[in-house]
Amino acid sequence: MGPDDELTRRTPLLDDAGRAMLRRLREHPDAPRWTYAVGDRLAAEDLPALDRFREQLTAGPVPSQPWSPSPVVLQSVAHALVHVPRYRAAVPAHLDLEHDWNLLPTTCRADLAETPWGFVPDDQPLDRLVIYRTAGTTGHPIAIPHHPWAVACYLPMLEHALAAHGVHLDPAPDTVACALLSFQVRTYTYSTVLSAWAGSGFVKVNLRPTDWPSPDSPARYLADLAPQLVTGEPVVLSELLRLGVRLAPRSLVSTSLALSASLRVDLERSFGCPVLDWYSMVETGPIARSCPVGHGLHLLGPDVFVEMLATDGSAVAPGQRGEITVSGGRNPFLPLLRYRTGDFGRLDHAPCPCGDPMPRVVDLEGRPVVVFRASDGTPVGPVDISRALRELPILRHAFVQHADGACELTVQPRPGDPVPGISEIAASISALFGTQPCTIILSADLPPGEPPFRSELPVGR
Amino acid sequence: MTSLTLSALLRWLREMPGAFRAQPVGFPGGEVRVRAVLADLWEEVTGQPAPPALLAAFEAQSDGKTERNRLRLLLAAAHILWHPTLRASRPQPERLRRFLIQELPAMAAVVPADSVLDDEERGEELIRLALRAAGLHLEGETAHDAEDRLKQVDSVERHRVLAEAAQRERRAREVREAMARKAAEEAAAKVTRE
Repeated sequence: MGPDDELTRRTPLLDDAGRAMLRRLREHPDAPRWTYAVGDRLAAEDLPALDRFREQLTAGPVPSQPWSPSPVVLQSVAHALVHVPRYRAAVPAHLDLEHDWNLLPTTCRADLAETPWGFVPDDQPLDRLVIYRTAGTTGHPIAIPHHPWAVACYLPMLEHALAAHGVHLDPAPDTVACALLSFQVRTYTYSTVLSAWAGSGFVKVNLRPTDWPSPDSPARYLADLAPQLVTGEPVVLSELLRLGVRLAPRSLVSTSLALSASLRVDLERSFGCPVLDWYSMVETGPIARSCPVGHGLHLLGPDVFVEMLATDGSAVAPGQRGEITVSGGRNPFLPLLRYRTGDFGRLDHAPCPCGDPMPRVVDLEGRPVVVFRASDGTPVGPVDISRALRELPILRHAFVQHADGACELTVQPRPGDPVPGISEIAASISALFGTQPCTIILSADLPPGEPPFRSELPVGR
Repeated sequence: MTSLTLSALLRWLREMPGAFRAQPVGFPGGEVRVRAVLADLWEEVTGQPAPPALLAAFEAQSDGKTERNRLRLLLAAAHILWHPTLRASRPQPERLRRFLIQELPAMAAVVPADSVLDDEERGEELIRLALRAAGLHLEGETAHDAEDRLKQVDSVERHRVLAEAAQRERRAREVREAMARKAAEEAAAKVTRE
């Protein structure tokens, strides 16, 4: 297969303008080192389906009173109960979903980690299957079956969220629509075009200096690309501030980890644009986005149902704190049934001053920013650790760095696979942490409440 | 009022007009807006306009074959519910809603829409589900008889039994292998981290 065949396999709708954009992104004198090649894998028939999804979003989901799964969610769950092996085994046929919703079993990350194939509907052709690994922000990475169309649905959802903040994108073949920034020891970096955004350019780059031709390259490259949208974790957006990169995006979108109010203000002041907080998971897709007047995060999808559950799986009283639990969704390879995200918050149904009728997730307790330090002081993030361990046969892990810098890693081996060697694990950790001492513990059953990452380092260190 | 015999209803189903046999909008050659058909039906049989959230469930949620099949089966169900006797029965909205957004998607998950016209047993299954939603049963049957017979023609239950057998293992192996193979390939570009 020649290079052009590879390009069209990855981006089937690529045209001449797209090829020119790729050259601009890749052959720029300040372009970073590219470590990966990927496209959107969208086919021509996906675009009308995306337009229909966009129309559904624009029409505006109508929240039910009292809050309950919408007919769209119910019909999708009814289908899933017939065809998803895991659900079929757990739920009796012909249950009245509307009446008996609270009797349905819940699912969680550990279920997906153990038997992800048990969640794939048995009538779903596998030819367009793609696999994502969760980043590892919340624990050991797991493989998630996904579909390119469902991934492309993120774009209309972003448009919808941005519009609520008064931001409109004009993606075109000669513009760069989006730059996704990271700051990691190692990560995938790539450039491509987005067929669902008029063939505009998209880059995922790592701000770590070793990835670039010169120290000034990130600033020059990003300024020259002038992305309309910049996305990244709060720590990365904060790094963007520190580097003094002069950019004028129409919006910044903060993802993955909690965004502090002070950082939001700093970013908005420095870049002169709205900063959105985006709550999304690989398993569920986008769940909620920040309210433009600061009243929590409005639920996004017309095809998902979000409820809050107590630890025993029962629904909490309206407005009470519970585990954010998601059903439905648009990933044909992973229809969700009461998927417990591991994140906690409250669902507020009170009318919002911004006018959006969708309920809001408030007091979200999800994924605090955790930074570790290598022996030479280099920052190391949870994703770096998860990435270092992800090829090992591990089901779950818990990593702690104590105040003196010493580390402790507890791993639960994946059942049915050979137990990973201590020396192999230790080598993966020392590649990140240098000479910091690290104790490795193998555990047959890591307590479910154990946080996957914890730093006891003094603040500011 | 027309007598409710199975043969008469099967004939009614077989004589379904072309508009109900057409492809749903949103798919190649699509001509009929299923949402509009169901909106008319709902208003006619319940006397109330259908809530927008309900009507949203009668739009294509994806461009997959499964979704097209669900919408085509909805059209066939709408035709049965247009039968003068069913229409006049004034079904309870909750019961009708359950039929349209739960029972029918479950049946569509395992039954090709065309088979309700070609296969008498599948036609009977759809008719019996529609009758139950309308609170009716066939002439000469008690409610108990009707439930018994519905269980005998229940394709969802039959699929569950079959799916529990050998093909379950084969499919699990197929998906496991595909996941391992695809994990080695690149996925699709995503504009946010999660």
